[in-house]
Amino acid sequence: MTLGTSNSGRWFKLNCSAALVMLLMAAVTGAQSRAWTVATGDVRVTCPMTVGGSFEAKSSALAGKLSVDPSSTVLAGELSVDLKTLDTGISLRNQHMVETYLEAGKGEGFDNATLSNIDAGSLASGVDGQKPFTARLRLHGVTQAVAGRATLSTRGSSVRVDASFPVRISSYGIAAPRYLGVGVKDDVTVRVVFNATTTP
Amino acid sequence: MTTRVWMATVVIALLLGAGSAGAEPRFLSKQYNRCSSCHISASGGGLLTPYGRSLSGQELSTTRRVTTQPGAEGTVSGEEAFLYDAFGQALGPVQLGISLRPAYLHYEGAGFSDDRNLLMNADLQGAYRGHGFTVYGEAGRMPEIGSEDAKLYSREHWVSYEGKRGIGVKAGRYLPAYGVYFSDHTSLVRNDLGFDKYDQVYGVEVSHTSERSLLQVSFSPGRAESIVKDDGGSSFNTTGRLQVDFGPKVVAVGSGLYRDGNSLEAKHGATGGALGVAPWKRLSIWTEGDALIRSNQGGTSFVFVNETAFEAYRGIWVRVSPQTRSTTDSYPGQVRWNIGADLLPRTHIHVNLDFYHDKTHGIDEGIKTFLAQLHLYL
Repeated sequence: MTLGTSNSGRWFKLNCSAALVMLLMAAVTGAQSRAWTVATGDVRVTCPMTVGGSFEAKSSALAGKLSVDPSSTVLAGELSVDLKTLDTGISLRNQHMVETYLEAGKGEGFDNATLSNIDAGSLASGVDGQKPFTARLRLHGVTQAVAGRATLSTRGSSVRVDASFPVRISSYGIAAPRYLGVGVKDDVTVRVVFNATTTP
Repeated sequence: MTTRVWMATVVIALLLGAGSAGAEPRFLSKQYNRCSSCHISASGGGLLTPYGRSLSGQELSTTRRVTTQPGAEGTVSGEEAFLYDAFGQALGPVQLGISLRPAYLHYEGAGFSDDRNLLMNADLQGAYRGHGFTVYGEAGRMPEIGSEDAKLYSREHWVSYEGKRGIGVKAGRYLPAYGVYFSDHTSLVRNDLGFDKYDQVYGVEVSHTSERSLLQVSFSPGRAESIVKDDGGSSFNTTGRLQVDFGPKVVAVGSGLYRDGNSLEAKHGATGGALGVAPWKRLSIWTEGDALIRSNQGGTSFVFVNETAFEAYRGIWVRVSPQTRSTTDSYPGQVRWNIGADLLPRTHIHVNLDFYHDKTHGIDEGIKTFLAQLHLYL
């Protein structure tokens, strides 16, 4: 019986532990931990030219998943864009940008631009609104901190994000883009717009 | 004025040919919202930059797709270079271009018709750039006008300096910046407002360029040809043009001009705005509207031009351009339809095919014009 008593006590502790874990999980779920999965979106990079004016490189190959955890201001997960899909409207410019300067053919670290460690402050009190944010951008094999502003708006089970931030291309080891006397200035602006489906 | 005078005006304007190598506002669809990428002049037209020469071959023409590496010191090579690279690197920092434009013209209306072959342009253009300075000149053939024989003349020659903060100064003979520099000099916003191909001035232009805007203000003692000929047509004039880029594919332009009176024309001024949008990478839409204000009871007329250009296939463009001018007591209104095609089969070869239908207010019969131009830019 002693053995029986001992087994019974262990069984009771196990049940209590399981209940506690389930309770904690329920608490977290109740605090609206959610995942944002990019459904549609695009990235637009506005490149000011040395001769005045600007052009825009655009890609719709934006993908990624972010997890919103109320206990942290940093969103887990990352957003990435395939740099080979960037389009400026003319092939010569595309070729120079992707092959010569972004060197997207070099493989991992160069083929995608990735935004991670996105910190838009606490989203516990509400997602909607304009918020400053910081993040880590990996580009051309180099990771640097970036900062910008984002506008978030929820609609039903989706969220729309419109974020922009400046990037100094020389900080990422990218050579100054120049071709026949026409070039791109060092500071470009990245705008990321996406709709994400939200799931618990 | 009589019916025939107005029709003759339209025909003569076309007969006198196109201006210098045309500015191409339709390339807004390629995200070129400034002329200075491809042209030496910030106002567009004329000598191409090495970048512009390269683009002509590698991006704009139907058959040329080979990417060549730039030659030494950032110059172009191969068929994109001056005279197919006949001089190699011998010209150093001097850039040259030859513009030839043989054409065929047919027109009919009001009981008459005619057709003829003509050489609209035969120009040599050159520029030197260094240390912020640009020295620019054109020399070419001015076709016979009325009783005047064809002659050698220079449409533009000027010196400019642009500082590192985007402030520039230009002095010499040039076409003042106003509105949209449509390549068709007979466009109502160019022809009616006095920005035709022989309307260059001697003057000074001050400019400021930035990522989002371009401001150009010109001051001049008069139209260059009037000063040269001393025909009494020179008088103080000033123009201002502000371009604001709301993005790589959305551009707004505001302009103003004032010309003092002289013995050939009364004091007048104009102001207007233009908007260029490229909703798709093969489509550009430019619209300009101006008010031309004349003194001496000349009245105020409103001029409107739209040019919608669509690239049906690489190097093959179609254009539609409705244009109107309102009626005043002294000047009849006009409605023009221009439908055209631009074919760019190979580097520096440009074929323009244009049909115009001009209808002047108060005149029953319109005038139809067909113009075919082969523009060789060597």
